[in-house]
Amino acid sequence: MRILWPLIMKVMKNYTSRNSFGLFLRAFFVAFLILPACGNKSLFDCAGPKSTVPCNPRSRDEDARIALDKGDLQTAIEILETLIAEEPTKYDRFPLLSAALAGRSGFDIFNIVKANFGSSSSLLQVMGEFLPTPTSKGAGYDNSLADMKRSVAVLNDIPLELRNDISASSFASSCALQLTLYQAAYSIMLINKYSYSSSGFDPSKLSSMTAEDAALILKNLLGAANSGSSSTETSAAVNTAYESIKSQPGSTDQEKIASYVQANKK
Amino acid sequence: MNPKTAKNLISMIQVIVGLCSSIGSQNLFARKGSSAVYEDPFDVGAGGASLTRAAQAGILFSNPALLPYGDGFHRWVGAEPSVLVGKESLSLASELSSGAESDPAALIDTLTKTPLHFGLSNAVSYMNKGFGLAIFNRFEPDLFVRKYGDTGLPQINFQAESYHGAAFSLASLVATRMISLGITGKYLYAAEPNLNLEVTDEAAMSKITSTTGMQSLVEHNTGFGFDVGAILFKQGYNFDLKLALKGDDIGGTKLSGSGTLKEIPASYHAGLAATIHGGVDAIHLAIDYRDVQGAYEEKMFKKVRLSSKFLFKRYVGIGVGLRDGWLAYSGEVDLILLRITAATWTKELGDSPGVDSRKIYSLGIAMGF
Repeated sequence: MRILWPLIMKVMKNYTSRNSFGLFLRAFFVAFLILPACGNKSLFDCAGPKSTVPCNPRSRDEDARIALDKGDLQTAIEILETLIAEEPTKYDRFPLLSAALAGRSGFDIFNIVKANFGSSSSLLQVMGEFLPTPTSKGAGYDNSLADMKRSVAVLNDIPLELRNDISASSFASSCALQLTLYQAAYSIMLINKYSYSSSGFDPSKLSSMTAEDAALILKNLLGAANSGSSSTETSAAVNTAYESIKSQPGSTDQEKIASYVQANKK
Repeated sequence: MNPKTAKNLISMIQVIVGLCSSIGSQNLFARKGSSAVYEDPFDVGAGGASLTRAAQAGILFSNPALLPYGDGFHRWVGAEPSVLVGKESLSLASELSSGAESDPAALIDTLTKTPLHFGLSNAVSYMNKGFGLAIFNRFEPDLFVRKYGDTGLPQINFQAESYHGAAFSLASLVATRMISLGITGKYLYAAEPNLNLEVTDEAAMSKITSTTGMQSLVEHNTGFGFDVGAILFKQGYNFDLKLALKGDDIGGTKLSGSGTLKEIPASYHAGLAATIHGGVDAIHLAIDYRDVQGAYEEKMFKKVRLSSKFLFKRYVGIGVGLRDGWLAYSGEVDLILLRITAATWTKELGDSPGVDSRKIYSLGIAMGF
């Protein structure tokens, strides 16, 4: 560079001052001087620290995609909620929002990899391994529960003909599986609400279960078993849990669920 | 998802990685972008504005009208193999080789954060001032597991650029050194698969995890096409100017076969360059505007490329530029019969900046003279 610098200066002096193409040269050098301002983003990224050229804005769907890939579920949820409110019949965004809400509730889809629904363990034992509890979430457990409830509700907002397995929509198959997983997870999380305290498993809380929540638990389990999911192992495990609860001793749904929990906890 | 699905996912990744690593110059695998089907790594790392200056076999694909502007009749004969790898892939390979990710769930979780990207390319070519011939191959696959796929459940996205074939160029000055025209005829064996697979779709996973199932999804098509290029050159004592015009795949290159890539649309590009030079040193500053008529519907960040190439004593070259809106760097050392090139750039796989970026490192060793 030491050798070239005098040459650069000489030529720049000779040509940039008098040649009409000097504008091009100067513009080029200025462009390179300001390039470092773009930091670790594309120079054309509108979210960059210092936009020096007309940027190329991303669509909000793309912003949601980036947030999901980064695991920034809060941002993804906010964007998707806005988009759905603006275009309530564009149903392909619903499964994404549902998945993000489930993720924010503490449901990690990759934990399903570890789950073995075909084993002799009950649904409560299998899903209880990784679902959040009042012990793990503390005061935030109600928020987790609300997120999972909304996750299920968002999927149920999709017209039935678009989310069954034989429909032609691109998300039908995955939507059915999501419904199975999230409804089952919601049921278990409701059970956890009444069987865990901040210090750990606490079956004494089961007696406080309301009739409404007991009905919700059974309704979601039944819905999960009949969602039309192609995952027969998962559906069968949910159905077994539902039948097992219904066969437990007790005169009310609360008592049956409490018996099921007592029988299936380690 | 159950253990069977998880096993399918792992098998799928193994099959893809296995297939990719075993093909070498053999071919496996939609034209998404307007980039040339083959580019020299030094040019890519210098920003990719190579309509007005390109290295070795890259000339035939960047702009054949560049052929007459070399020193002497003979320009190049040799091979230029190169490899590239994504930044994240390097760290993942390190983790995998150390056995740190033996838990399938942990491995999948790691894969959602680390896209696998690598590539191989080579061109064996002969070029002189009026003629060029090259046999080339370029294969660049990308594998990314999304925790939240398009339908909310985990998804494997596999895409690749697979271009192979031969090119033949003719070029000539027209009356004076001010105007050069060139044409490149090319035979392509090409594919650009873009597969999105839900890992929870057991039927699709079973199909895809078989070798024959995978191959059926990545069929190559073949076809002939041609490019034309023109250079308007104004030479000064220390300062040259070049205006380049290039048409790729004139009339559209039709591809036939059972693959999905059926046509490469015609696209037209314009470039402007200034070269400041001494006896043997030169600084080449260039700007390319690709796909002027918008055949690929690319946004501005993919159309504009800036390159600066600093060439010292014919033996050392440094390139700095802007490609896909990101800074790119390259360097080369010419050791007479060996030319070693190192480059780094960022590739945007998505349609907007920052959606799907891959930081890439490349190393090439060209053998020839």
